[in-house]
Amino acid sequence: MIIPVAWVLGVAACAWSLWCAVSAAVDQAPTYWHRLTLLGLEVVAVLQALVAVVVLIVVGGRGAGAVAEIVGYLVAVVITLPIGAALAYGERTRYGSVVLAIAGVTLAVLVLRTTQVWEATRV
Amino acid sequence: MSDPAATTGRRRINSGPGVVLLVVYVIFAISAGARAVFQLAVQFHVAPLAYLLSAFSAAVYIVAAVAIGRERRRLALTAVWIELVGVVVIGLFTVVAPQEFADATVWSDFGIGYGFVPLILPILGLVWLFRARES
Repeated sequence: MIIPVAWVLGVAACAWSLWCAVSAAVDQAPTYWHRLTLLGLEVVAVLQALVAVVVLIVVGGRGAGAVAEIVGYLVAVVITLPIGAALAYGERTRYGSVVLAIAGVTLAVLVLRTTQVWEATRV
Repeated sequence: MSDPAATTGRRRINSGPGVVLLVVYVIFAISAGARAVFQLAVQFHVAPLAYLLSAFSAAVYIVAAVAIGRERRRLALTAVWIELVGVVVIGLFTVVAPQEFADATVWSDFGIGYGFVPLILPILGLVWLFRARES
């Protein structure tokens, strides 16, 4: 896991979430640009997760429990935005933007928590 | 397949504010479910009661999410009521008799570990389900 990239991802997810929340506040449904930026965040999240898995395999040293916990968080990081996008897709109202905002906040929290567990179990 | 909401003229429970409720339930179903699986598989002997209660709360979130998503009003209402009773009862127990719980559950201290969302969520859920039924 690359900690600076994780922080950038977390901050970007917060900013994107804020944008979605503002869109909802002005009664705007998710637009093409919301989805395009979501795709960008998802690409970074997937790459970050892949790097973390490679480091877990190559470097090793962590206990089975710690590895299971980290992998669980990485899976959650990767699936959060697609779930949000899928639920928001059918909701062409401001509530679609609220769903995306919640997905963004959740992603930021999960990235922060993954980073904490990663650092705490480092050998 | 016929749409239950369309045939009864009632508002769908999985659209508008309902989809926001649904995404929160899905997030909690996944997070509580993953937490329960991890705790039961790796450290069950540490705090069996707490981890079994976490697994129960995960099951309630999963049922609520599926019920809202599939427009099953009665099942959704039942799950959300169980959730509210559960978070209040377990919240009270963990405050009154904390020694009985060797580790925290999702509903410990009224969901303080999750920013009290477990306490607020069933209240919002019930408000939405009753409003959707009336409209």
